[in-house]
Amino acid sequence: MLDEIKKKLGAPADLVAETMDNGFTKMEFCFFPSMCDIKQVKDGILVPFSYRFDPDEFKRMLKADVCFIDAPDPEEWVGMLLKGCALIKYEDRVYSFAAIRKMQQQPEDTEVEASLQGPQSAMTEDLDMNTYLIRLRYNVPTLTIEKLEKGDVSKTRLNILYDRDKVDLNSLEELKKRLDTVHTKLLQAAGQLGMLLGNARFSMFPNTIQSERPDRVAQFLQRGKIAILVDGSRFAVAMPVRFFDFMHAMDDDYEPFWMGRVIILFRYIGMLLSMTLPALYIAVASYNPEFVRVQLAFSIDGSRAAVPYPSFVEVFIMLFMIEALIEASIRLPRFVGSTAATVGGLILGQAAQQAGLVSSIMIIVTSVVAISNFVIPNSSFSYSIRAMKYVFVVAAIFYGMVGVIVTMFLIIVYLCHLRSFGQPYLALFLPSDEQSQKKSGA
Amino acid sequence: MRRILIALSLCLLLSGCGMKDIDKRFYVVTTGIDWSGNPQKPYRISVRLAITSAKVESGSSKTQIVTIDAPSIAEGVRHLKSFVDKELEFGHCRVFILGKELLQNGPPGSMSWFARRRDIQLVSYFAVGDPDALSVLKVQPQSERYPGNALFLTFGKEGTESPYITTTYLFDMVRRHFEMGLDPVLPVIRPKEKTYEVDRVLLMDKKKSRLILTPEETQLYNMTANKATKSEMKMSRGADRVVLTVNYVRSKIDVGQGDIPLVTMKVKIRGFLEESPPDLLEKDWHGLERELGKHFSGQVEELLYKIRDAGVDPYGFGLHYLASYFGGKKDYERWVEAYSKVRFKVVTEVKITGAGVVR
Repeated sequence: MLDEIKKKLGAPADLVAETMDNGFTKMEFCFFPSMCDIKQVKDGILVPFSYRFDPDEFKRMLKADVCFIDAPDPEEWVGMLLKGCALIKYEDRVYSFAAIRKMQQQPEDTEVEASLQGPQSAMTEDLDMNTYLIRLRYNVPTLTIEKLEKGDVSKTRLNILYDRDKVDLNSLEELKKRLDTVHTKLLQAAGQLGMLLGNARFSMFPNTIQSERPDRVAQFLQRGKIAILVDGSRFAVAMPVRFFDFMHAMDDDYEPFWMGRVIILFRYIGMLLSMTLPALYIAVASYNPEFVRVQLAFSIDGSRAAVPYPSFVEVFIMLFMIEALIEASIRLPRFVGSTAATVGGLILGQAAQQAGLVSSIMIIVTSVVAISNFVIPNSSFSYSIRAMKYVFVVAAIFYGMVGVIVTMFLIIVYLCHLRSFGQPYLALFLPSDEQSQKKSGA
Repeated sequence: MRRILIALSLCLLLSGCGMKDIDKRFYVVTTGIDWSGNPQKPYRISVRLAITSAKVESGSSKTQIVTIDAPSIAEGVRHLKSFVDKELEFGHCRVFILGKELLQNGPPGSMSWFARRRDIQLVSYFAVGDPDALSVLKVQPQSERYPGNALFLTFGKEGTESPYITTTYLFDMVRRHFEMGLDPVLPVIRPKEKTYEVDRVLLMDKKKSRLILTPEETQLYNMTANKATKSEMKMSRGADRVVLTVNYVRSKIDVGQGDIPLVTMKVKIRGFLEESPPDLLEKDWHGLERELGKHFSGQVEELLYKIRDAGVDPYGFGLHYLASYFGGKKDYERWVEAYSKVRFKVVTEVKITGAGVVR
């Protein structure tokens, strides 16, 4: 066995492949120490084989222990080794011992979807840990888990989770169909899978949702959605989604009812502002100044007096700056991140206006756009809104206020047309359990 | 996909020529139209243009006035554009002032210009300038923060709310100009050094101005026709004055049948005494209410007869009359004939809610 493996792997330096002899008998043994949990290997193989050796007991252990799997096929050996199993050959039979080293021993803290008073634990980059976290929160016998592997090179493990009583079978079927068509070499993140599944090239809005919160995934499951956990990613992908799922933060369910509703309302207003405000500024400043009241029109007029370029150039300058600033603060290492914010804040603030490059109203517009974009709880949706803003800007450049209104209308039409795994995207109310049961009964 | 892209890029070519940056526009804040006296070019059009600045403080408003004589308003405005460096913009012109003389010299034939232009708002205010519109335009009120803001606040009920001020919108004026049995009413603005005096109304028929009411009568008109609260009722009682602040006014007009119809106006007023001799209310509460009502009725009746004799109908009695008949031309002719002999009866119900102090 050892020769064969060495031939296939090209005898890498970090492979331990030896024939062990305890005086009574011999055993061929090989594993990657870097990928295995040494303690498990020691307890499971080395100790029973060496100073506690008893031939009968050792044989019994190999046969009965669930950790030892028979591996008669030489083709599988290399794959098993690379996953972190240890292989032994004892009395001409090959067994694999799963002693995979785990990076994560406990749940992490939420980073992307922070919550004030909700659960603070987030999923980890380990699939089994994540499955445990969700089983813990959604502890019902109907929770079904299907295993799958994707990625020609990475062979990433996936778990598909759903509640078999509540799931929409059409969506499940559609998901499986789409999973069959997914072909990629490396599958490294949940977002990547979401993109591959979601037909993203032709969609302006995401039609899968990612979450790092186990409580959120549990809620999705309870609402009949399907979640996919990807090994090595701390996010779960859930589908089918509705427009309104993206605007929902877990805190809404944990805070007093009316306060939560008010916050949701503010969030929608923020989203609308972030999407349309630059376009409205262009429309008001270049086409329809009668749209705002006279006092505001005069202050826009007065503050624009020093600006040499037409309003849309001004908007593009400021939007580019703010996008660059946001992008920079995401990508920069944490140590220099605050420098970017300070420098950017200086430029975007007084200086640009005093230099006569942009009007003071435009600075307000820019900051409102940036801040209200952060209000959106889901980051992939907030990317969508960020991009959508430019559609409005272009419409406003050419058609003014009418353009903005017509674009708004078109986007609503588009959202109505959109389907996420067979479910309407803009459906306001999902049918309650009783209704859907009645429907399926009839 | 490619087809969609081509269609979209073709759409980009469709854009109009409305693009004009806000700082390349000259805002007209007040337009004045006067009678020039020259029959060839009867209209003197003056526009007050806003010069905006980034800093806003009281009295900082700067304006520029441009004037031209023209045979019609449209021609005049077109010509005025060549006098200024930016595009004239009427979108925020909320106040239009017609010269007093213009209204006396017959109806401005091209008045429909206001209603036809798309950038003039139908909610803009109309007023009469006394002695002429230009002198009203020339006033630079000291308190003004934004150019033209003083008049916007005066008529918009955002700032002052006075029972002496009548607000006439363009849409209402157009309606009153064409409606049978309802005549236009315009507030009169008189310039006074650095401020305006707006406390009279001018009543006109379909053709020209007929009557200007005094401030007292203006208040009575506003109370009975426009439900003007924050107004007052006053009465002398011996050596003392009794003044009632009105919180609530409602009036109902009923035009009777018959050859010479009797017009009944029922007015309900509620308010509290703001000034009165001591212990007046306690002595005879209801008596005082009746007395005030009677006094008010008398005043209003007097006003109504005055308006009737001038041959105008700002209340729309004619419209009320027509509404109870078929409303055709014949009915209207009958009304016009009867109107000069119509009798009025005003019934006022006053309710005093208190004396304004805790007893």
